Amino acid sequence: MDPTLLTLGALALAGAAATVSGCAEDLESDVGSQSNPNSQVQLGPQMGNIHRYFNKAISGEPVSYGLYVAVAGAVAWALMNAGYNPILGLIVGSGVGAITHGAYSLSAYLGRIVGQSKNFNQPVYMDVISTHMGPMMGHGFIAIFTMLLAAYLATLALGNPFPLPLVALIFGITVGAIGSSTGDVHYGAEREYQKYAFGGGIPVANQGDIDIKAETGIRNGLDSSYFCSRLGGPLTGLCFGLIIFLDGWRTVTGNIIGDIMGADLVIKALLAIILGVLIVIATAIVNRKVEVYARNKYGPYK
Amino acid sequence: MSHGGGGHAAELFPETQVLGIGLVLALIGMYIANFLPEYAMLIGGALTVPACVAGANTTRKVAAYGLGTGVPSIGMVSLGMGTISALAAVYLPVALGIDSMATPIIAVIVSLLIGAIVGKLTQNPVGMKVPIIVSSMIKLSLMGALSILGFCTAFAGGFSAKVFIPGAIETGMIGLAFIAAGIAILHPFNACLGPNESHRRTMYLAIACGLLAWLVFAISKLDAISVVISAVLWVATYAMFVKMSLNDASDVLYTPELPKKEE
Amino acid sequence: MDISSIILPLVEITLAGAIINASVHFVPVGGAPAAMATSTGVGTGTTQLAAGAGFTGLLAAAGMAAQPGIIASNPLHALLIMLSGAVGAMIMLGLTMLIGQLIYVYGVGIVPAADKCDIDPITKDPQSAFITPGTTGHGIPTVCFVSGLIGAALGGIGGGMAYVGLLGLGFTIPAIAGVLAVGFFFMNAVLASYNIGGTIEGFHDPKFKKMPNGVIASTVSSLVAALILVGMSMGL
Repeated sequence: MDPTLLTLGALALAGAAATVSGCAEDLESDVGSQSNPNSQVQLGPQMGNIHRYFNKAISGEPVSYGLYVAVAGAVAWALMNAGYNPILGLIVGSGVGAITHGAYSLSAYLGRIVGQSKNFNQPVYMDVISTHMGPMMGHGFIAIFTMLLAAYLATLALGNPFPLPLVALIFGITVGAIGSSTGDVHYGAEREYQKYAFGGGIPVANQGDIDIKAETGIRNGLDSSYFCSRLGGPLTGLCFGLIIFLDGWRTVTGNIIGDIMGADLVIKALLAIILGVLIVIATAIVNRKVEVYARNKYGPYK
Repeated sequence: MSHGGGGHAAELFPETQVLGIGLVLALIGMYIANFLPEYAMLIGGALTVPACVAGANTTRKVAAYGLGTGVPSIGMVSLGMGTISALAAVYLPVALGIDSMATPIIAVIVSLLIGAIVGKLTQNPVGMKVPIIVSSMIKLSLMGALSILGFCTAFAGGFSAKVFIPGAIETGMIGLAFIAAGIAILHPFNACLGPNESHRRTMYLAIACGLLAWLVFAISKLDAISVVISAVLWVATYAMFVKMSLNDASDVLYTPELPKKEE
Repeated sequence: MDISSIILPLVEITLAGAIINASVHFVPVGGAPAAMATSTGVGTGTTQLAAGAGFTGLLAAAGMAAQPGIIASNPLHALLIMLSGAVGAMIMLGLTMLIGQLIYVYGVGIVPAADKCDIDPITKDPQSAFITPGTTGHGIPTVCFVSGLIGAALGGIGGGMAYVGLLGLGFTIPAIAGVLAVGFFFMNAVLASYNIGGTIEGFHDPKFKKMPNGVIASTVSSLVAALILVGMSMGL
């Protein structure tokens, strides 16, 4: 088969896998309240809000996802090296990564809750642990597996020179960085503070005054994940999928245009770089459009 | 990532002792792994765990001052310095024409040097206001280097360049050592901090995290005996941590109810 | 190995450390407060975002370096590797900031506004009236976006330059150069984040003036690391 077509196929698959991964990663971090919005869950009891959120302060998402995906990548690599089927390797590896995730999640919940339990009267909820661990590890497994699949495709078909565990580590760090920069905003600025009117940031004085009531009953992380799956999660997935796809697309397209022109390697590389710069300019323009839209639509605060 | 409650409880285990134990055991582990490659993962892996625990203990001490960017950053810088030191220790003996037996010692020297320089730089010109930052950076750099070199030696079955480079670097396993040891060093205090933190609980979690890192390496090496032993030890320590946490909690509830506010 | 083949990588690696440190100061990060729309910038930690962008750039640079026919010692090819890293990092950060912005505007309903300047120096839009009372700005206004793109480009160039320097020293196995570059990147990015100490909006932020301190720190530590790397390369 034509190698360019094969590369394009692998690229499309990697982009699709990355999209699913980003979405699952963000929803998982909403169930567990990981990363930056976690600081509000941590402050809650000090502000008198005894809550039933999961408090998953493992570390920032980039570092923790770097770990899970690297674990999965190392185990998958070991199994493939021992002659097992690559798909089996990827699945078993992701399973080990998910167990690692579960172990760190539980210790983070217990550690943080007990670390301020006596002073602020925050109890440990065993039912929160039993209901949240499954969805977290499940979402985590999807995120890890798809991420690992993208990493595997990168080493197999997209010309990445690094070994699988190292690519897995780097991809894990990247998906975590994106998940915590984009999707977390929807959870932190909106979901945790729904009792405040839509259309404003959270003043410093109100920090820690998180919502503890849900649509019905007392709120927990599963409700938040449901809420964020309508905007924050899908957009995070789109963001990561686009990054993986567009970054590979510019190289492939540069090569195709270069072939048509009969150009050499340097010209092809330059074309890829120029295409990349065009993509970047496009993001800046769209960003400006969105900014102007918001300024006109919402207006200044009075 | 704000610090939330911040602070930590009284120190139960002196830092220097923990560091000394971590250093000595990790060194012994590396030499055993080098001379008995068939037991490398079992003994070398097990003896690297104390180095992670010592690193976590130092993290607890320095991070309680509040770093301004959260606990994880210091774990990452320690492993960044550790990676360079560990790799320097593998390559330098070849360059200097000395025996590869010196590798662990070189790792210690280089990591102390890098830690001291980076520590000084964070004070001046960067201007961090943490009084123990220099000594802590030195200790963290050392423990980062030992954990990376220890786990990689255990995986490759030796630390001479001929064994280490194809076994641990070209396979990418050093990336796993970087992040697994890094989390084992930064997670215990990051998870347990708060006004009701207890040193004993944090240390139990540190041991559990170190054992988990060993378990992951054992699985990656497909070494059944190490997997079983590390898994049993990990489950035992982890269960102890869970039990202690539940004992120390103000209340353990099984149903969705909020405690009544005391008026 | 002659002396000139050592000096060039030594300079490249030292300079790369300084550039990486400088790059982090351009990236608008609001840390945890930004995730609550309490301060301007991307809602995550400094090191983390810089690492995410830098590593995407590193992958792009390594992918370029691994193409058959590309020789890192050729200055033109080395430039292509660095530019490739820069573009990779810019795509990553540009899309991350854009999608973050969409969530700020459509999910939270706020107007992007910078706190550290009254008038956006690029678009000339007034800012202070659009800031929610009690917060220090929110979202990613154009000035921050542009500053972030500059930072990403520098981070990618720095990562690519370190990678080229490592290849120049003879660390030709990609895995070794990659691991060293990752460790090296983290060391410098954390030094920069300690220098920033929390949040920064971009090049218009008063904190940006502290950058020389961070750059000096990274130059010194990178020089030490580069000297050690040169020593290591003697054994290759």
